[in-house]
Amino acid sequence: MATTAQPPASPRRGSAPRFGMAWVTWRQHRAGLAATAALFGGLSLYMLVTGLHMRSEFSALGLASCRHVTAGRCTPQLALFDTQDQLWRYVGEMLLLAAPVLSGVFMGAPLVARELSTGTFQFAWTQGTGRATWMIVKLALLGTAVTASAAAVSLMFSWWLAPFWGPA
Amino acid sequence: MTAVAAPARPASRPRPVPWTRLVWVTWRQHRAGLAGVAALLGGLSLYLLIMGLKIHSGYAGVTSCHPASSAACGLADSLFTNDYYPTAQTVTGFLQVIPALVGVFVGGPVLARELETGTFRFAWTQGCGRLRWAVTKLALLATAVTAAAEAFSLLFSWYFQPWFAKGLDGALAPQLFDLRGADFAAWTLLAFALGVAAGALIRRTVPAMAAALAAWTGLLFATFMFGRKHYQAPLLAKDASQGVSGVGNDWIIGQWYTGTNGTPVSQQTIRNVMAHAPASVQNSQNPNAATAYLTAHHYAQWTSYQPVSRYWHFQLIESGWLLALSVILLAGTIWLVRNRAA
Repeated sequence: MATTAQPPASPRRGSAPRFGMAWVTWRQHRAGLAATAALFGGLSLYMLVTGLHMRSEFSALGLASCRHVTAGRCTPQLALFDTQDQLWRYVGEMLLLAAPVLSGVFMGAPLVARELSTGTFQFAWTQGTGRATWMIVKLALLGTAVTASAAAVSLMFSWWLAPFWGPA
Repeated sequence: MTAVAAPARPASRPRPVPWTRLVWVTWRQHRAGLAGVAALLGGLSLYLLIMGLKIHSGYAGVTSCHPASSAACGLADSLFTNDYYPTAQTVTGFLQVIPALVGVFVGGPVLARELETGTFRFAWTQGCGRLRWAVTKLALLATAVTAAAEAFSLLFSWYFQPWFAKGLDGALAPQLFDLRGADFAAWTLLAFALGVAAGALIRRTVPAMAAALAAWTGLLFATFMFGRKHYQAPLLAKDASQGVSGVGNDWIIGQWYTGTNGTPVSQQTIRNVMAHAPASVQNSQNPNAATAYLTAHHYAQWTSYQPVSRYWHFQLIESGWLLALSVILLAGTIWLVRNRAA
């Protein structure tokens, strides 16, 4: 799997170029990265669809002027604000809590554990790249990918719930 | 494997491996997973026990406060609620995922690990056939996981009891329904069955667990958002006295207004009507002032809801179909194990 037999042209001997190690990381973890992309992408799509729906209901009911609920005029509008929307919101928050944990655990745990458990570390760590470089590049690339996707989803979350938050 | 030495036996056929040996094999191979489940549920149970005792004693203090309608007792009541209720709601949120974790982490590796590492060639050629091996393993693990989940959900019901008594949440509330009664155990069993089936089909542990988690989440999502409200036709109430939490502890599914001729009116219409209401209505602190104004203008409010008395009926329906689905998945897995050339 991790072969550095045909690296892109490199003048150095005895060590694989960085590009090779990046390719190895991609090749070994593309399933996990695709699953993370699908998970965060699906969450973003969910928040987009439900967010647009909630915003249209918000403006139809004029709830922007109902920040303080004690006023008698807001009771019918609040009651009409779809109970289904409250479920969408609850589910979205639960999924958003779980998604970073899941993607981090399913990507991170097998990173070294699979190599050690199947014994392929004896192969992976005796290639041109030393095990330190192997580890650093993998952690950097995968960590960046997961963190960046989570940050993007977090921004989406702020947009999603913006109508519910008054002026801070 | 066992050589027959008894002189009374005419043929020298080896005895099949007794069931007790299979029980030991299941324990020996899955003790880590079962210990993990015990640690997870045990730790959470300890937390629920400690917090539950505090909540119950606090609630006992609130209910024994005399006179009940005095300002001092009201203050004690709201202090009690503010101290413990938000945490209880957060705990409820976190517990949603426990059935999936327990079921998938125990069920996923059962078949997937054997198939992935190739040890099935050894496991299925012992004195017991693959059918008995599979049936024993699945039955034992399913029972263990379901029983642990059921015990945990009983503890949770006890923990949350004061909030039901205070009417802060109804038994049919979506986020609480699948943590209590028979539902929590049924969702755990389903997660286990999904893990086992995914393992048999995908034959690799981590992808099987991920697929089982995804399938379980999808099913829960569909039930939570769309399915559960249709178990029985909802009742309709007209001009029900309302707070935002609705008709008693019943589960409100939808609310709408109808106009003078009985047809539903849009939300925009209600907004416009309220915008033209006199200032005495608009600035009233009485939550019923607005509804009274709308009623006076011939707008009727309709609520569709599920009464809380249907709680056990819904529990039986939901755990029933979950159980049936789990049995189908497990039976299908056993069929796969038996018939596939692997």
